[in-house]
Amino acid sequence: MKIIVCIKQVPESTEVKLDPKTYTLDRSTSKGIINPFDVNAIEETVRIAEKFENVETIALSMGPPTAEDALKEALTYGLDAAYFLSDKAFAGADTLATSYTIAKAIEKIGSYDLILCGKQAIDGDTAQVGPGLAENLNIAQTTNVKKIEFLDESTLRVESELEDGYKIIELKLPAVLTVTKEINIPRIPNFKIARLALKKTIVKWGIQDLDNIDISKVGMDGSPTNVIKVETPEIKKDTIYLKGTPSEIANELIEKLKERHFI
Amino acid sequence: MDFSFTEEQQTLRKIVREFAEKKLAPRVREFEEKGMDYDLVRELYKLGVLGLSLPSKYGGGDTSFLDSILVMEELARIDPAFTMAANDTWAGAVVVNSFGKVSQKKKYIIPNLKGEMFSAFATTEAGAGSDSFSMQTTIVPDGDQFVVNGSKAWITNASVADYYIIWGYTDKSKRSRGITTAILEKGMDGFTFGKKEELCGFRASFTGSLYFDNVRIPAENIIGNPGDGFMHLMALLDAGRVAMAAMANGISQAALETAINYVKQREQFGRPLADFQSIRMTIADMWTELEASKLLSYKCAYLADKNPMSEELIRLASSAKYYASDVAMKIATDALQMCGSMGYSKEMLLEKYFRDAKFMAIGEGTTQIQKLILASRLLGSKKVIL
Repeated sequence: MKIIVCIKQVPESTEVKLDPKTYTLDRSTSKGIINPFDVNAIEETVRIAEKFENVETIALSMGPPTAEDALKEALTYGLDAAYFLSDKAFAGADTLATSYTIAKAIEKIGSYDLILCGKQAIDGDTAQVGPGLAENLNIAQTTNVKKIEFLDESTLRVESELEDGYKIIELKLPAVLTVTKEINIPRIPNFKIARLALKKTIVKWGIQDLDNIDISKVGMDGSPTNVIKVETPEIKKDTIYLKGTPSEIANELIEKLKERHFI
Repeated sequence: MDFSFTEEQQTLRKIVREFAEKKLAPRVREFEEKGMDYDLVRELYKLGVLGLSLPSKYGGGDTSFLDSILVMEELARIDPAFTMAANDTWAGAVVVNSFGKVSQKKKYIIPNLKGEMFSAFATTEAGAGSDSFSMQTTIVPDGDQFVVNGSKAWITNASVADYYIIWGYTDKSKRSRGITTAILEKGMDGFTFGKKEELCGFRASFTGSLYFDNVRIPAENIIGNPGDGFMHLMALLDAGRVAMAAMANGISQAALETAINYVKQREQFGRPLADFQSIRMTIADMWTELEASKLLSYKCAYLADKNPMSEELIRLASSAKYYASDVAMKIATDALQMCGSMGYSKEMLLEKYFRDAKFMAIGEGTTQIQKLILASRLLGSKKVIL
């Protein structure tokens, strides 16, 4: 079985700066980390590999040259190999262009059984690349997965989170699953595995390396999404002082909380 | 000269920091009050970060001594008591690896580095601290066995450890050439433990006494030859001192980080404490002294890897140990002072760092002993060229 886990490097800080002209993220000011949901995807990949024999695990990412660090870190969890897509031609890609480009890389990697992604990236929060991959590859998909169970070598039963519960879905491999935080608690990497990982070579691909690629579908040119404006919501705080006896204050507090639908 | 850490060392640090912040930090107060959970030490073995400098054929990592120093610094930044206890669980394996027979290495180091067996290291006695020649414990031959009598005091992981490296006289008349190193195992007839000592700091780990009442051990439990013990002790002292320096630096870092974060948000007279010049001067001093102290300990680790018996290391290990202890006490004191009543309360961990820091100037040879060693090295020869 071959599992490909797709990861994204995101800024660590929550106070991310935006480029005032393009409204893309300014990654130069903060340290990059692996998108936290993707760490759950990595953990799940490693757990499947530990559970079954002959599982090949591959990490895949696209981004600016500094994003290679995310793949290096992904390997420390014990994945077998890593592929890195980096090229000026890929820059400025929206989710459509990104999922197209990554799908082309997956086709080049060749056969695969399962593709795991985090449910969304914490910087863009679109949750679109995972499903976009499945569409491009024309395979099954389920999003927001919190449990994966193998019924047999090619059939999965997964639990997919809903707002007020979850649904159970059976699907045939190959498939794309996007996973939530509930699926597992990621391990702390083992140092002995991590130091071996540091010696591994990450395969780097640019646009020239991908086969049958339509260059009009990648990067800024392939991205129909135009961000007109991004604004940070203003946080407003009103402090209301309640007066009266303790029981009057308590009653008034309950009324106010009810008014605002907190209780 | 290259001051950068390797990619491997950076990864090691990141792994240990993640462990310390996620697993250890939430339990620091609990460990102080109820004693530490040694299962967390087993987790460190599973992460492959303890015993790194030992050979990989026995489960170690073949890494430099500096790697182990970095592990201790990171752990001590969260809990020095846990750090010392965790480190001591494989201190015995270092002795066995350096001077033991292959059969001893297989028997003790392999399960130790899997976290299945813990060691303890016992030299100190009630009447023999820095003056190790005053030790009363005896390890005397009797047929094909040796008989151990006496006691040891202030031993980290007493009763918790599975095997104990101890020192005693086989022939007191031979002084330094009469001391022998032996391995005792928990459960041997006549081998018992005292109660847990109530200490000012370092309260999480189990510190106590060992008692030997005609404990009979097979000759195969002697490390090296009878009479080699003092040489073993001398060879191990410097590493122990550098380890203490690393732990002291971890305490300093914790206290400094706490102080910096506090003075930026605490306001008095309409502005953050961080705006007051006296605070700014002190913060600058704290950081500079911590960096200087770290550099001393890193250089010691570098020297220990290059030539563990060098004169330069003997001098510098004493310097690093007492300097780091002084700096830890000073930084913990200043940090606590900056945080005022909050610093003095158990709401923050500064009062703990303050208590823990004091021990750094006592354990593994007091500050005064370190200075005497250094002075004797500098003044003892006819002519010294530095």
